[in-house]
Amino acid sequence: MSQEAAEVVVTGTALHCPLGMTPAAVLGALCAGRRQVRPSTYLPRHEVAGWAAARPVAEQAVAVAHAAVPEGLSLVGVPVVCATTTADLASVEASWSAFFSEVAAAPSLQHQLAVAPAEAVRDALATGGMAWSVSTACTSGAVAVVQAAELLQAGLADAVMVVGVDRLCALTELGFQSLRLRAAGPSRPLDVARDGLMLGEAAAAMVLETRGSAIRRGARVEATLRGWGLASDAHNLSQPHPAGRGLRRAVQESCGGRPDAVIAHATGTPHNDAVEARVLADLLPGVPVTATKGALGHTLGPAALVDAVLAVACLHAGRVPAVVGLQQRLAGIDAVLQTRAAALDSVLCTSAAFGGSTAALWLGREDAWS
Amino acid sequence: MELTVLAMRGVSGHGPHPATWAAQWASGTAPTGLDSPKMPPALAPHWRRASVLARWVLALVAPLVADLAPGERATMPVIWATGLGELTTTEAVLEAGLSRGRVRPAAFRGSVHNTPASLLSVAFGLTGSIETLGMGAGAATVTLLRTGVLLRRHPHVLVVAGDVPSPGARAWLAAQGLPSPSPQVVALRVGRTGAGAQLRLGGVAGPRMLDVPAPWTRGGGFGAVPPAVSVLPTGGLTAVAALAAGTGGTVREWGPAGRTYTTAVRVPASMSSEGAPEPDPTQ
Repeated sequence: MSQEAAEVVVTGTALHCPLGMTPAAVLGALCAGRRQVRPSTYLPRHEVAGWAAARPVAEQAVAVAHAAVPEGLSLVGVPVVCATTTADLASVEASWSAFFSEVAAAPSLQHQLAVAPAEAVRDALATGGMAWSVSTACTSGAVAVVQAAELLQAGLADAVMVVGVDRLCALTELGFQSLRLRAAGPSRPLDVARDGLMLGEAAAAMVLETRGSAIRRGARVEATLRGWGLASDAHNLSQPHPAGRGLRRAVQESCGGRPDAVIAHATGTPHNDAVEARVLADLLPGVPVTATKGALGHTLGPAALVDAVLAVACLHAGRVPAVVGLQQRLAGIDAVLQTRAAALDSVLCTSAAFGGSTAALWLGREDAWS
Repeated sequence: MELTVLAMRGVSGHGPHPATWAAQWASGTAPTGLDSPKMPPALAPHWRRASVLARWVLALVAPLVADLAPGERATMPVIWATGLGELTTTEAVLEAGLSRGRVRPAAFRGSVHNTPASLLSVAFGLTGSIETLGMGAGAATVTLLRTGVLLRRHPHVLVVAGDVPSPGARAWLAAQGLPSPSPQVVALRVGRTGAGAQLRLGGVAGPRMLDVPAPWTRGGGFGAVPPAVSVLPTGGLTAVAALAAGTGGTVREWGPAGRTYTTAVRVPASMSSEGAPEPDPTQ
């Protein structure tokens, strides 16, 4: 859906992950071709000061939300929408063994509810407003942004805080192992020799406002959310529709023009990347396509929000980062082998999820930044 | 914000007829567990590996989408609202997986929060958006709010909400001295207009959120949102379904900082509620 009437703008972004603690720092690391995943274990390493992988999810969510709050924004009544898949299951997994062995009480239910990080952010920011989570697996971050944008367009809020956070846990590790979706080595998104995904961790946040609200308070606008699309494959729980039915529709609904670059979902799995490349080759031939999961790993719930935050950073920096791990490109698309400098007017982010959910967000450059 | 409930189904630990729930709550009847529903033959391919929760989602939605035209199946958004999600499956996966160091692929697929919504999409060919909401305080209000926003662009929205308490959840709640909650699944087809129960969101949640007064509140309101239900985040929506099958009134939910969310319900005399399929203990 392309938005003509009520404009939705981005007035705050934040990104915390092992490669950096700001969107610009992470983009710089991507452009330099660095990975945040240690190849021997494929788990995130503590690469920068401030990142703590063992930190409870609620704390990570609160920290990244704080970092995204734009100067001068009153948080009273601001809804909080959080994208997550397993919430803080990692914090209580060890307790489950004891519970199953009947030697300990059941782990706290509150850690396991998907809504927990959203409510933690609401309480920490003292918004007093509504808080909920979106858990559509790997599209969660994009769906959360869409819900926020449509809430703004409906006139039900002036600003919305969107947060994305997940922490790797045994369930996730073993689950992706069981599906044989994990790469044998570092993942190679959009590469002909790709063999699977790497798991990663990150926390991201984005503050969305109506343009009217941003103007009234003299806010610095970082980007505009020009359009979005959500659709479903209705095909299979764990494989994409062969023709990319859902993703094709999501891209068509989101993008009323031709973006200057695409940040593709590109997990590095054979099926996902083949379908995504086919859709992008058909709909956006010749548009440069990059991906972040070769460097960051697949961060699951926040992944689409991470990409959206990085899209804003790309618009500011005028750079399209290379796909880390890419050596031989899939046919039909202009996957980015070397970081490119370019005047970017808009960037499209695509995502797809377990269960067939697909999403696309179209982010545009804000003139004030030029 | 006003919504119209065009059709609905529900099941809970108080039986397959939502119209009877309020009376049972008022009398303090303890909820029972929830057996799997009988399998509709058309859903056989999706049934075997689905949880009890997912099976009820499929069974309750089947009659609500049976008369949809292909165009409506292609565009109608789906909201799946849940507090616990597939926690029962997750616990089973962890119990086996943590000791053996591996899990079964089907079990992992079944543990994902949005599996019931995904099964709906696949089983009924629903290719519009799927939105799985993880709910807490004010669950009914938030869910209906999102429904109302979607109705600005779509004639109908399919709203499904439910929770089946897992063994671990029940144990934890018991340890906190909280009552054992009722399992519950409700499915609503909601439209902008039409013949059906009207819902109007009201309450207080911030400077510009939901400050619409709720003039349809009847004297006495609906004071029977039972503690055993409201322990679970989706209790409010279940109460809405029960009200829509009954006499109308006001549903109240707890919000943050002691606030209360309200939803006013008006039920035309012509509207009746059909029961859910009977549970089948053999499945």
